[in-house]
Amino acid sequence: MTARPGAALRASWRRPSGRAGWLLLGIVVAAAALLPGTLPDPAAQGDLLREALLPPSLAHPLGTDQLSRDLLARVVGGLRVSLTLGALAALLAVTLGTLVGLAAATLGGTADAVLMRTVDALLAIPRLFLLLPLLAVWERVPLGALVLLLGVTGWFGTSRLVRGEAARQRTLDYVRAAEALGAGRRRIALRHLLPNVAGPVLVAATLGVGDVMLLEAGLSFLGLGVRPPTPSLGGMLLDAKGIFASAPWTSIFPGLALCLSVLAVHLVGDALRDALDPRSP
Amino acid sequence: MRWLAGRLLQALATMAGALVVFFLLTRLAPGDPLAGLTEERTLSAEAVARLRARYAPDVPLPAQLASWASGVARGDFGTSIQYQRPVRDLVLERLPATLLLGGAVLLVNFTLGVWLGALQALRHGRPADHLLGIASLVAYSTPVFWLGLLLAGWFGITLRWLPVAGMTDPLRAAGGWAAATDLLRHLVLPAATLSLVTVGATMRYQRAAMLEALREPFVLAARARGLDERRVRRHAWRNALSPVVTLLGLWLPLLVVGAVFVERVFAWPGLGGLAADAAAARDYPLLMGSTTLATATVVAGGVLADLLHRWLDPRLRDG
Repeated sequence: MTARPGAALRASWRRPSGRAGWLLLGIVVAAAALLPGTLPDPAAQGDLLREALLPPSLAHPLGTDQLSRDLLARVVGGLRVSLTLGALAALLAVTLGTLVGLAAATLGGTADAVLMRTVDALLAIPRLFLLLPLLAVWERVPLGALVLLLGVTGWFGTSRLVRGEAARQRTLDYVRAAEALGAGRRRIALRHLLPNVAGPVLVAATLGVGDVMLLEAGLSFLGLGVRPPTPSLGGMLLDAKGIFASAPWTSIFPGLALCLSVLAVHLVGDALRDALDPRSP
Repeated sequence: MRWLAGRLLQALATMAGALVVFFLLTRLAPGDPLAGLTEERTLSAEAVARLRARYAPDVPLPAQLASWASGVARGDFGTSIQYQRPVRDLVLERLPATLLLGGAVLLVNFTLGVWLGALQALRHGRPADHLLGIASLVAYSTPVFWLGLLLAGWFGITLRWLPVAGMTDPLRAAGGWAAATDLLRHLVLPAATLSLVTVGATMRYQRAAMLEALREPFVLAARARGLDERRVRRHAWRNALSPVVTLLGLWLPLLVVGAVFVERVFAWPGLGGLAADAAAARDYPLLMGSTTLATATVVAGGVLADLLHRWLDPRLRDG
């Protein structure tokens, strides 16, 4: 396994599926970053009697919702929240996972066993169920807290991955040579092991963004994640529940935006993994 | 036997750990778990006292856990605020529906998913493999509740082909052939929704397992002996199956989590929908009860998958 993230990024671009993923991701991120300036306020309501649930038109490219808000502005706003949450929470999760994994691999012995058994136990619990009781009690959870919670419940898999790869690297000659030269544990972990586990960590981070986006939308669909008036794709689908017959666009577009974004992230993640591990099928 | 005892002990420790995490995380939230207990929802004084011992924020954490554990040991999961009935009864009533839905989805995964994944491996690198690979990735990226909304809207409401809510039609006569058909018609859309999003994961794993098996020396040896390709494939297939059995441990979380959303969309009277309703209604005792049971299902599924794996692969037994 080559572990160089830079080479992996270039190799992922050379694969057709990876290139499609990068392009799609670029479009999604650009839309979320640039469009809000040109669109109406996602929370702005029009004339409730005449402008609610309008089908797509030139004035409202994706139509309007039942509160007469412009659906394109809401979808783009929701996408922005979703991508930001996904990126920040995945970054936090991967950082925590890398630290724990490196610690377990370098400390070894009892500390390693205790850490990894704990991770095994936590991995057996679905992330949704870790969050449900807490979010049901927290009436208006701030976005920052949501990032923290999604990050803190998402590092278990990464730590196991990093620990496995770092433990393997530790037995290699270059690490033994560094040890023989008197390098301490921290130096070995940060200077030698960390760069060599960077590849798998990059893949875990990428796929983690998709996981968080789906999880956030799911929680919001249950009425527990991002709370109104902050736009959320899951929350929009919750609003659209039951009005498919009269206004299918309110169901179709928020979900399509989410699905395409997650697909883009998964395509990139897959291409990165293939590039890092040529043997993987 | 010693292995099984150790594995069960680990599962129990996981459940105990899960409960500690549930209670600890709830303490982090600035809110009262029993806020749903309002004037309109009156419970008996005794039931309220028992709920307070378990969930009130001013009770010390160890005391809460002890109260919870002793209750669960007696089969008492508390009283639901919303339904004003024991959580245990509500959960047991909802269990058959979830088992039926989960069973149907597992069946699709075990047949269609495994077959498509193996097919991909046999067509490795050719258009069929790429096409199915993209399809499985799209399925994997689709939010299950969105797919549910679309299928319910299109096949249920626009075309009126299939029912979109509940498990039975109350206007139909109970019992007999008509009732069974009615149940199956209600099952189609929820099961199809959950199957479509989970089959992607199954295909990806089975494809990898089959590719691995096709690379083994025994496949080369079989071909060298002049075995016809169909029998070679059967040999490889048999060896690719054992990793998929471990997938049972991977499917159950997908299934149980997916059921929360699918049952909510289709008003399917199962355990997942119960948890979703409880969360929406801020019915904390019911939420804790159903979440704990769902987690226990996942943990137990992991043990079962390990057992099956050892049974299918004798090498693991000796090791």
